Amino acid sequence: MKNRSLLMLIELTVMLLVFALAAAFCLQGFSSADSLSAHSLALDEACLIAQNAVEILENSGGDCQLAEQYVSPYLQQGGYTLVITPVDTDLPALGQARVSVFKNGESVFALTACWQREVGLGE
Amino acid sequence: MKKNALHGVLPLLVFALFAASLLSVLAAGAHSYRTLSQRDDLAFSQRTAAQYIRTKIQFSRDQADIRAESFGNGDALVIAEIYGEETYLTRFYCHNGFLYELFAPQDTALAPEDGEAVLPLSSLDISLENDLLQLRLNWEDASRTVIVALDASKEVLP
Repeated sequence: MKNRSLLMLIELTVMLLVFALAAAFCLQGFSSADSLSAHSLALDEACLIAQNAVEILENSGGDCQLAEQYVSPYLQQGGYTLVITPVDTDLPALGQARVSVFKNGESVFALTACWQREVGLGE
Repeated sequence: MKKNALHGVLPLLVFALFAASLLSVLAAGAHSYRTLSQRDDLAFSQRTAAQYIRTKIQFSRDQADIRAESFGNGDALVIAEIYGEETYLTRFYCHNGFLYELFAPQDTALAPEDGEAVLPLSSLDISLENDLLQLRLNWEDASRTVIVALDASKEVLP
């Protein structure tokens, strides 16, 4: 009787250990699913911010200050930062800038904006 | 006698511990699933509503007159286009917790409930400044802003 009880105890302990291992994997999975979903949400928002900035840049002939002025009020609440970096091109009539959106210092999304510059015939 | 009783109770205690762990992992999984599901639903509404309106404006801004006006109890984005000889209006507005779309000839008298509910939305604020159309889409615990450039100098409608 005593041996049977001991055997059952060992069996349950082994089962508990196996379960603990499985539970650890499950919890890790839940945690990574949560962080993936949060990243996906941040990516959506960063994409929208970058699109807004590109829209302003392309229609203002590359006015970075105007783009920052209009987009900045919506950045603070999500902890986002907008960085617009003008890019030199070989074509004088082509303006280009790299629009990057950061969240908590980490790059989330980037787009390249292109627009047509007004140039003289001789340029 | 006491030792024997302990041997009998110990497996029960271990089993109780196992059951409690099982329930807590199940509860954590259910909570995680509910959170993810709610977040994904919200993200879908936000992304789709913002991109739907942006795409509609970008698609028709060269051939249409786009303006903001009041409709029902709030702001409405109006895209006026000419088909044949008649002017048609596409209105986007918020009504009863949904983003509505209403496409009809200009002179037709219609109410907000005549439109088609597209996606959940709490409120819609529209402003036009320096040829930049800003649409603020608000949900209960989130908001998104869509900025689209318009060329106010062009005249599309007679």
